[in-house]
Amino acid sequence: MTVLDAHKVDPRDTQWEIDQPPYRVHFFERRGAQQPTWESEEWELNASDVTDVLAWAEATSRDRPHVVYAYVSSDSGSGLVRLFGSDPNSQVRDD
Amino acid sequence: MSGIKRHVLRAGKCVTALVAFGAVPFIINTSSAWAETNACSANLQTPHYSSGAGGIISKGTWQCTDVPTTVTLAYPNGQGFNLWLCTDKSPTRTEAYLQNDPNCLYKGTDASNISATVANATYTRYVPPSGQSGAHGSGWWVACAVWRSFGPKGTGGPTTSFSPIWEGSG
Repeated sequence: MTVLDAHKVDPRDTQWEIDQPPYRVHFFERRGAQQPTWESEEWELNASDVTDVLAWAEATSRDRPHVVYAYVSSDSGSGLVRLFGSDPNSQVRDD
Repeated sequence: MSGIKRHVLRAGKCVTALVAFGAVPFIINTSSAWAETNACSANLQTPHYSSGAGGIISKGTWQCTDVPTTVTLAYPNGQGFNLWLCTDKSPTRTEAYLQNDPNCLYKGTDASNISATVANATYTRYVPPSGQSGAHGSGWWVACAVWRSFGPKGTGGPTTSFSPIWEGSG
């Protein structure tokens, strides 16, 4: 069972919300035999809820690993908030 | 993907290099002439083909425990975050080898500063950077970054970080 750290919080410690962020979905396909890497295919989606995005990603994945992010812009630039999955190109690999 | 939940979703291909934050970090290879005093680390992803970027890219992430810290990639404090393609053989992962071997070609760079204001947050750079097409060619691909940190614990580095090498084309 996955360990969760759940605790109650004071809700007044945030300053902003984004009701419907754009979502990014990155699919990965293994490429190369001896020194493999993961080719990536990136999509942006506008959806009312992340559950729709997760369903679309699963239906589109063809069993490829994928990561779902919320895309967020701020004064300091644009960024991603990971919601689901992990990037296989970020796995440690020994040469 | 056309036809899938089109009434709910509007999906279009995007360019990975537009992204500036995010991802799971890991350390590949780091060497320092001096200690990294601000507890910063860099992690460079294996170069790979991105359909959104239209070519080969590598993603680099930086994290600093001590903030606010500025990570500089630009010369003279750094040598940039660079993508290399070596066409004759798998290279030795040193900056000197890559710069001196005539068969190693420079395929993109990012020399922007990284302003780390949140402790242990992940700050991302891509090479080639956003606004440039992904790189093309065939051979051995590797990314390398030479960088320094300037933060509350003083000046760190210079530190050299490498990605794993990938043999392929794109």
